[in-house]
Amino acid sequence: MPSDDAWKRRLEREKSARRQAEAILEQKSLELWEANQELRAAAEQLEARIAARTGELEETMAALEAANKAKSRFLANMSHEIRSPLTAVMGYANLIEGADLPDAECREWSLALQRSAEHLLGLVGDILDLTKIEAGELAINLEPTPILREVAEIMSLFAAAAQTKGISLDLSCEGSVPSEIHCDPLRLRQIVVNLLSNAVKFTSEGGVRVEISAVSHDLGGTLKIAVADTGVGIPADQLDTIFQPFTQSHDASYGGTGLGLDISRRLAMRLDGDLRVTSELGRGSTFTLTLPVTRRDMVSLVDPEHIHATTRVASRVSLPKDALRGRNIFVTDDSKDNRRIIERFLTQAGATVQLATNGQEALDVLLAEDAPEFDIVLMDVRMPVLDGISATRALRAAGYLGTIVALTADATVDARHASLTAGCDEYIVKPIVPRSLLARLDGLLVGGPRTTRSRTARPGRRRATMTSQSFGTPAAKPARSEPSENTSGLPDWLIAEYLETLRERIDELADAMKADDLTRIRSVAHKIAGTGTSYGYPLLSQLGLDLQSAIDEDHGATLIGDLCGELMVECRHVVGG
Amino acid sequence: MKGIIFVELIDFLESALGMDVVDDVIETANLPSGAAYTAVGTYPASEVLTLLNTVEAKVGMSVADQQAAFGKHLFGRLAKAHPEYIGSVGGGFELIGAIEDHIHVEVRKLYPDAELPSFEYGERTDDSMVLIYRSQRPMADLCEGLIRGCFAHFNEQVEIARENLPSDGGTHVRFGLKRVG
Repeated sequence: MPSDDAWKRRLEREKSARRQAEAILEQKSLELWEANQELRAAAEQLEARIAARTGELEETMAALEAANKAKSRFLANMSHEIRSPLTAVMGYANLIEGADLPDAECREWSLALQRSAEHLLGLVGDILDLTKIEAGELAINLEPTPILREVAEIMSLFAAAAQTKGISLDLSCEGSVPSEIHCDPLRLRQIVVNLLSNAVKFTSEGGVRVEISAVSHDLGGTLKIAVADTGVGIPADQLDTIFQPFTQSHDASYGGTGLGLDISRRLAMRLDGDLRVTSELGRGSTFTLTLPVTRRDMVSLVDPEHIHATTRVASRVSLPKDALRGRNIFVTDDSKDNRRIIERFLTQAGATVQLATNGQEALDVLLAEDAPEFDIVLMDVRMPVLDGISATRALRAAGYLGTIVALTADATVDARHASLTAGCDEYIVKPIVPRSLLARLDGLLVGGPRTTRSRTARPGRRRATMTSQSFGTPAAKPARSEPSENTSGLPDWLIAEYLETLRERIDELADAMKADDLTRIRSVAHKIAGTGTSYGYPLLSQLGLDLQSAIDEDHGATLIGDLCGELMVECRHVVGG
Repeated sequence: MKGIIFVELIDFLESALGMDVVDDVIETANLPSGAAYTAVGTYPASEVLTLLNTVEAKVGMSVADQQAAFGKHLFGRLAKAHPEYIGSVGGGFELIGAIEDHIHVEVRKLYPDAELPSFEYGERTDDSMVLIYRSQRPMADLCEGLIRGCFAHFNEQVEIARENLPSDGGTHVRFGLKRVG
């Protein structure tokens, strides 16, 4: 056993060692703490520097965004400004063309002038759209859109071009597709027109086929519109870039702005859809537009066995030279050039024209006691003294019932909305293309020529505004259609489907009327209004819209009741019951 | 020299000679630290030599033998303290080959003030190695003890040929290590 003294000394040594250890650990711990503090300070300094850098970057970014916005605004303004003089250029070029020039060379020049102006107009339109999309200002108005009808109608626009090139143009449906989908018909048209225009442009042998199909799933479905051509095709390495702005096809000789596909894809995305392409060089390309279909849309399907849409547009493009014979048209425009051009077009088409230079002059003439009857009033929107919107509002307030068509260089949805709510029946964007102006006016003038206008409508009753649903072929005073008479140019099976749906609407309307449920009545009226014109029953659309506005503007139970009755009678008449 | 060596030395001496003898040695040696060692401290290396010389004077065991035995003991203690590292090494040659470039590098990170001997490597094969040891202190025997402890740990039979090399002060020794059997 070790001695007690040895133990004591050992204990002392251990104690002393422990104290040393504690002091050393204390010292180490202090050093650690200090090192930690330094690290923390360094980290904070680093974070501060990062924050400062981020701030700088954010500022730079904001400045860049502002610059980009300014660029877009500038482009939009410029495009808008370019449209106005273009009206004059295209108008005069058209007049020269119609002037029976003796010199073949001059005719060539005039055609070249027109082609260039049309190209310029396309470019300006594309730039405007692109800037609007970039600025997030592009409005999308979803409404029930009869998809087959829309596509068939657009295709008919390309029939002549296809025929000239000697290529085929076919429409087919795979399986059942919804009769209507919730979509913006204006944007849909824009996309399909672009795809078809490309397909026809790049195809010189074979043809272009449009195939519509739909797949359904839990949440509704997807509609596919595939535009397939047997044209030049796109090299594999360019498939990614063709959707970028200012990127042209591999062969610049085909012309075009290089913006179309970019705009189309962005529009498709704004419609919650997509646009994709597959292509084989030398064999052709297929562009597929997909659009969402709601579950409700999937309920009403049409099941075509196989349709072959042929051209329906012929009647529209080749209007008779005297399409407006016997018509009396009033033109209000502050621009002398425009007045002269429009006057020439209209008189060439056989109309009698009276002119005014601002809204006030128009009011003075149109509201005079001994005012002649005008079939149509063309109303420029921006004018000195009294603008077109105010003038239209004043006319409607005074009980003027004639057809008023707004004419403006402002292509925005807001401008359209403003003129339609002021009481205009239609809205035409400048520059004025004579053929389409005449077609639009012809569309407004359903029925035989007349020189007097019925004033039997209720005094003070406002005319309904037209939705863009009936944009293409609206009818100001639609004639009553014969039951089941197919005047739409659509296949009979499609009309039959429509009439079947209309029978359901009649029941819905009857129910809603019995329940005195204005919301439901309005909803049925809206549905009927949305499709009537498209299927060749413009009076149905008109009555539906009248009923809708009567409800919206709270016109009282008596009038609403009357309109319900009228709509019901017309619906029954159309379905032949 | 790091405190861990001193703590282990006292433990080693106490287990070999008993507490009374070690207490007597410490009293006689009259060390500046009073031999109150802690593993986290640092003490003059000369105290190790003073203690070993005192032991030799008291019990007759030579400093060289003490160093060799302590080296073997020390390796076992270090191995126990760092099982994860020892477990990752395949054998004695690998571990000794890693002293200069790995172990000492790590030691310096933890103890920047540590005064470490240096090792150079001569010819090396899977079964042999030449190791050149250089130190300011006369502790080649301790080094050899550590090497023996190392091979014993890995159960390897290795022959050690030791040759003193000329030096200008300090220790300079060549160890020839060769696997046998």
